[in-house]
Amino acid sequence: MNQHWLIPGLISAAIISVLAACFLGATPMAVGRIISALVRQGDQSDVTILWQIRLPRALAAFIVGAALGTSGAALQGLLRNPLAEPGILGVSASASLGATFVLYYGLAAVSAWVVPSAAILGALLATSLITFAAIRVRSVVTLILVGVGLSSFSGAMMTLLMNLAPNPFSLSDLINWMLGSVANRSFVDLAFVAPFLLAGFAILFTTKRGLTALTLGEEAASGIGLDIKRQRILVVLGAGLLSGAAVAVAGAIGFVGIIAPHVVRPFVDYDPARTLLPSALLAGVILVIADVAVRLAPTSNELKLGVVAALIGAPAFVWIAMQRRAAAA
Amino acid sequence: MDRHAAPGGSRMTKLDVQDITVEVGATPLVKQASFTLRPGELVALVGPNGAGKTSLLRASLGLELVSTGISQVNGRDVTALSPSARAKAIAYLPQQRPLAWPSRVRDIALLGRFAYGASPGRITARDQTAVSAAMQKTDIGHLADRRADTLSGGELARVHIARALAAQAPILIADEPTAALDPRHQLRVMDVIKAYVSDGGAVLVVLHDIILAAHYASRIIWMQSGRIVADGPPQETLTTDRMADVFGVKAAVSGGTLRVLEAL
Repeated sequence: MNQHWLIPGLISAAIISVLAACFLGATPMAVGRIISALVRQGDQSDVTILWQIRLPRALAAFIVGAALGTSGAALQGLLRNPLAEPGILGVSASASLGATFVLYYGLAAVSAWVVPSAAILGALLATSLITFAAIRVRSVVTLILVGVGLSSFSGAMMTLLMNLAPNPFSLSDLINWMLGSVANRSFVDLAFVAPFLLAGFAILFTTKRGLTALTLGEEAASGIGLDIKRQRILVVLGAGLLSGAAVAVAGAIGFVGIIAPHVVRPFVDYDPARTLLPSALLAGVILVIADVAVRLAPTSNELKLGVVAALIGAPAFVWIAMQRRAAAA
Repeated sequence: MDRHAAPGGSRMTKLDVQDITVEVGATPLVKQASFTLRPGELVALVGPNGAGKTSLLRASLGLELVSTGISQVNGRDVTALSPSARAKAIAYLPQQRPLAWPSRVRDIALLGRFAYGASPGRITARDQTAVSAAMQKTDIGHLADRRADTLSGGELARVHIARALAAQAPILIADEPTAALDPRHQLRVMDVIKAYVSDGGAVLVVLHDIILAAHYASRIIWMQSGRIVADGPPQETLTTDRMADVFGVKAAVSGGTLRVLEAL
């Protein structure tokens, strides 16, 4: 594939995958019925299935993927490390912790903004911690270990909350947050995270040039005129907003933020700035397709989207890590 | 070349470092160092490992927090300049030059134009001219489309210098640009730096090879335990006693040539 076709190609793939997600499902719908339902014509139950169930679900999968793909690409640029990603670094787990905390202590009833805000706060704290650690340790392996530690800690805290929570806690709720799902999402759910998502995307896209400068290392990047502190703060903020918002919609979904930038990078000459947009599109497409697979899989209980993402993503993560054996000093 | 037409520079750009002290906790790394760097000067900064050379360079650039003293470019405090204004005045080639990604050579050189707002999708004619000139001077034009991970150490060193030259800054500060290069590539790198000085640039360069420093530098600044202990032309400052004092080696010095005989 040629560089010039990358973005148009991914946009087409995004549209096709979302449309495909609309007509695949328990009630198969022909293309003609989908199109009538899209313009709110035709059979009323078709309109309901499309607008209340399938389209919001497909868009949720796409948006969550785009958010995770973009924050993965930006964190990789900032930390100069192809293994950086909200899931691996414990950012998603911390966001889940934030969300479950407010849910199980009844704070979520106060306002619909509470859950997204808590998830984002969790994500921001984790991203700041990781970036602080990255400044100090400088070793790729140590940084990943800090992320693993943060993930385990957040998981343990969630279990602890579950034991202490005043409200009865159902195991399936916990699994939803830890494994991730976009089932039963509505446009209202998306509307509440939209401002955070927009802010996150906008912030990360302003850091593009700085990410390219960081190719040279922090010292030389300062030398050519990059304000490193500002760059760090903006990437942490943008990535925290996006991963937190993604978790607020779908729980913790791992690995998609690693795979998308990794696939995209050779097509953009390894320029971190130019990985952002294609990573967003590709990660969105991956999650839409994975969610279709989840819905169509002939299992008695529906699979979780995060499980499918990890089934594909974890081996890919190991493969990328193995390829770095020479450079991972 | 039109280097001096660059907004950050002027023909008279001068770096003035006065009384700089750098401390980490209670440990002083640089103690009351002062020197001046003028256009047309190639100044070598030498001293044993841990003498504070890199800290002094970073403090001169405004990248290191100083406890006392000031570094000025044309009378303006470097720490008061914006990062891009500073980058337009002083090009900096740090010692550690790890590339995070296998970028193309032309894109790395183009990063020298970062302070001017250049990026692969947004290159002005002026950026293009600067990058082409820098790649020509460092003889890497034929490598433009190569990826960084396919280059030899000598080629990569020249790519980094091309990046620094592409900024067309009036001052260049380079930290061991010849480290880990074979003798021929060391000379090629120093020749590029010398040409930059002949064009009116000012260079402060850390060198570990005293012979190289004596051959190319108009002045040598000698550092030991955080202090500048001597500053002057090689003929005057390179002596048997100084080699013993600063480096702890017994050396034979005659007419600007040097032979290191043994450790003292």
